Amino acid sequence: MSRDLILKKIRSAKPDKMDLPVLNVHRFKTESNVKETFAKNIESVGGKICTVTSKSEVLMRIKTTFPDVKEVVSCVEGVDIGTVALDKKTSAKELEKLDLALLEGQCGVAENGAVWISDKNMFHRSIPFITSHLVLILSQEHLVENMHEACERIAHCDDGYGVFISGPSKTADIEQSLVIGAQAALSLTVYIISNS
Amino acid sequence: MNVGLFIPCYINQFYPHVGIAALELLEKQGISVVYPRTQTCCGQPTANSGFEAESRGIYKLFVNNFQSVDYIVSPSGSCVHHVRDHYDTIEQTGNVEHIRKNTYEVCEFLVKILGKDNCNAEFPYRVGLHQSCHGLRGLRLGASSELQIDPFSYPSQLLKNVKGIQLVDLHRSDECCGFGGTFAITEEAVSIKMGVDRIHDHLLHHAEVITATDMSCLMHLEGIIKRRKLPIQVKHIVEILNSTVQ
Amino acid sequence: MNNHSISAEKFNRNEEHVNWHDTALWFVRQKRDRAASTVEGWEELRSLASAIKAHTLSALDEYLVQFEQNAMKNGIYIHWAANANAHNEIVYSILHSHKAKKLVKSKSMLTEECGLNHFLEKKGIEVIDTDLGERIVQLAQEPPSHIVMPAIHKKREEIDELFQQHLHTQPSGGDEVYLTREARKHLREKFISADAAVTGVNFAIAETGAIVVCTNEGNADMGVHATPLHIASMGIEKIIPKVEHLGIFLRLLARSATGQPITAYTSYYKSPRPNAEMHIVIVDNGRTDQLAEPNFRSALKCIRCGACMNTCPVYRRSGGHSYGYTIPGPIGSILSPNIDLKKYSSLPFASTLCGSCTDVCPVKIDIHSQLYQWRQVIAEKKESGFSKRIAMKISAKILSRAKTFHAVSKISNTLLRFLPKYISKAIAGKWTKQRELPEIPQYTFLEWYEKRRKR
Repeated sequence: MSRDLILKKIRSAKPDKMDLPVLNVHRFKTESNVKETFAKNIESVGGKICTVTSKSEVLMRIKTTFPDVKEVVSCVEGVDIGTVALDKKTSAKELEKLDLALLEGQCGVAENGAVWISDKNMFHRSIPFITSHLVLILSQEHLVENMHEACERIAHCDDGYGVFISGPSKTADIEQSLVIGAQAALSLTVYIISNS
Repeated sequence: MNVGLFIPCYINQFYPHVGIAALELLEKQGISVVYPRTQTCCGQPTANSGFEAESRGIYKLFVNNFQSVDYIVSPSGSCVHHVRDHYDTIEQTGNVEHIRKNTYEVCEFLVKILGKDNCNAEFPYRVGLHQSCHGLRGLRLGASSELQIDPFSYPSQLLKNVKGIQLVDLHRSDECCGFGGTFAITEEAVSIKMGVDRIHDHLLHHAEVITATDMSCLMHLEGIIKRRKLPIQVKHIVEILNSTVQ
Repeated sequence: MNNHSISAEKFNRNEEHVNWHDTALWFVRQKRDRAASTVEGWEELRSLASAIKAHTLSALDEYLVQFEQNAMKNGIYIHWAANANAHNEIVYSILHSHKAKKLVKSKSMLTEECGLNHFLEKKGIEVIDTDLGERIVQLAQEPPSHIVMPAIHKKREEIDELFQQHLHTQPSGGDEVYLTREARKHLREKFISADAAVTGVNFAIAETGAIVVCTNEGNADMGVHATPLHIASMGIEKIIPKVEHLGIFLRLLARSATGQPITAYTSYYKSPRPNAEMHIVIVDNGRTDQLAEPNFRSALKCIRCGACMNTCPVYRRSGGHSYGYTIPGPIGSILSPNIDLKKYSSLPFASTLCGSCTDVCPVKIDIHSQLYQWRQVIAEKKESGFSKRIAMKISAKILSRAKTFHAVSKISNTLLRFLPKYISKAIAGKWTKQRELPEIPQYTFLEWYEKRRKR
């Protein structure tokens, strides 16, 4: 049996036990302003960022920024801009025409402009990828400085799927020339809800 | 303190003036220098080709030659690196351990052991420092550009105090020259291309002289320079540090 | 018999192309440097990553079992494959039992190593590589030349022609935006009509039984979420103990690979969605042999970032195809001899041992030391070639006897001084093809010293 053979080989091949280092990740914290760093990094990875005070402001801004979108899905309670009906049976094929999808992020990472979303934030796992334009809402108080803090937050994630999204999809496979918009979303916009 | 001078086999053979400069430079610091006459080679060429086992005889001869001095100093980063790092394949006697701990390249010996970074030299030329790889990443004679550490460089530190010298910046401060021992023969095409690219970096920055801690790099670069008749020279760093204006 | 130097010599016949290739990769190295300089404690992160991987390798069986248990609890099917063929058979049988005929595949060096595409195509399954660079080399019927940037060796005009031929695009002079948009349309069709998706695994987390896949294009997710069957191939060494360790590796990976702070998508797959299936194939294929070697086991720490390739002055000037192995460059040169010592015996010598690779490696693999160690194994197993062996043995004997050495040294200088140049050039062989020999001095250092002593 392959499993037993492989495990047996490993047991006889592996070196003597080496200690697992203790992680003191506070050592990596800096004095930087988390929101400013997050905003700077979202822009440097090709995303857009905008500070708002409420979800209703988001609704308004989407209408003005994306006036031509027809097929829209909103996975955010209180922002009813959806035009597409979804149910458990909706296939990726049916979602292919999606122009814009609005989802809520659970956590934003300042050092790389990434936003964590998981199953609870989306009706269908294809949505954040198959849409042409991805829009995320994130509360400012959910910003963390680095991936160590972010991983602390996701460690107990119950959902079967989650993803850190940093900017729109991209590729530089043609002579290292960067193209924004590869196989997944062509654009990413993050609305930070700040109450200050 | 007494110092044993180790002169790499190819410097003995082809560049005795570099050996002479190294000897004079050390004697100027007021230390007594001996040159054990039965020395041959550090064993790097054969070991790097995979014949470490066969090189043990060479290592043992080295140890015999230098077992009674406080320090062994050599104008060769790669030889010193080989002694410190690869002499672990022979029995670690007291002599072997002593030698591995106390073998130094000239620049690090001057700065770290003697605490000196001014050789009272004069060399009014534009000079490019080629940071030979075994010295840089093997002996850590300086901070390699890959690492996120505070910058430092013993060779640079010494050169900066040479009167009249102008050290030039390069596009690639520590890319390999392409010598690599037998690599220069077995991978001749890539070796030459790497050498040509290094020389052009120096030429682009108007260096008149390329210097380094390793004559092997300079032998390879000089070979290309002479074949292509390029307007630049090579000088081992000990020649610059030992020089006064003629 | 693969020989890097022969392929490298051919690559160097077009100096302009070498300059272009070298410049492109050096640019990526510089981006890596800039990114690393923005991280407080970068060197400490490297040390931590190295220690975590070293620990994991020392308890690899325990972590694999823990991973398997947790993954199965999540509803994932786990399979074990001792070698490439077993891997391919397993993947095929899963596809076959689901009647899957069209497969989309995101980047996986392991599937490349196993020759999965070719195997499945012979069984009548359509395999589409969905990473743009991989798709390009797939259409060109070439292997990838770099593990992160598979088509780095291809000029835009070549890609334009490929797309005209296979995607029926208009001639665009290699306009990257137009070509990427056309590839998007083409690949969208493939995602929507596929029956199954194969992905690689960047990290497999023992603590939660989840796998992590990193892409910039979103092509792994596009495939996985559009099809009812997800098969993920992973090498045994991809395991990390806990989610908290993921933070360390994710901070290092993209910065080392391309200079980005993180890839656009870092996907965490823990369980399949309802009515879908997820399978993971855990593969050995020689890794346990490498694990058994004290000098070479730390090469298994590799997180496949490609930084060693970008920094290697030899790789940049010879191209990935010169190595003749799935994984080229420095890391490939210490992994491949374990797979086939004879076939890949030229690779540890395709290096000047400059050490740059070791200094950029995010998990601190002592790559250049392992290249040196492989050279010892190759010589010992008599794979160095007869004449080299003889020459080296003779040299070693001469150099270990002072009197012999001095005699030879004296004679050779005298000879070289008096021999006609064309003969000394013939003896010196390849040295003099593009270099002058050093001038022969009037005396050796020893002769000078002895004369000086007599004064």
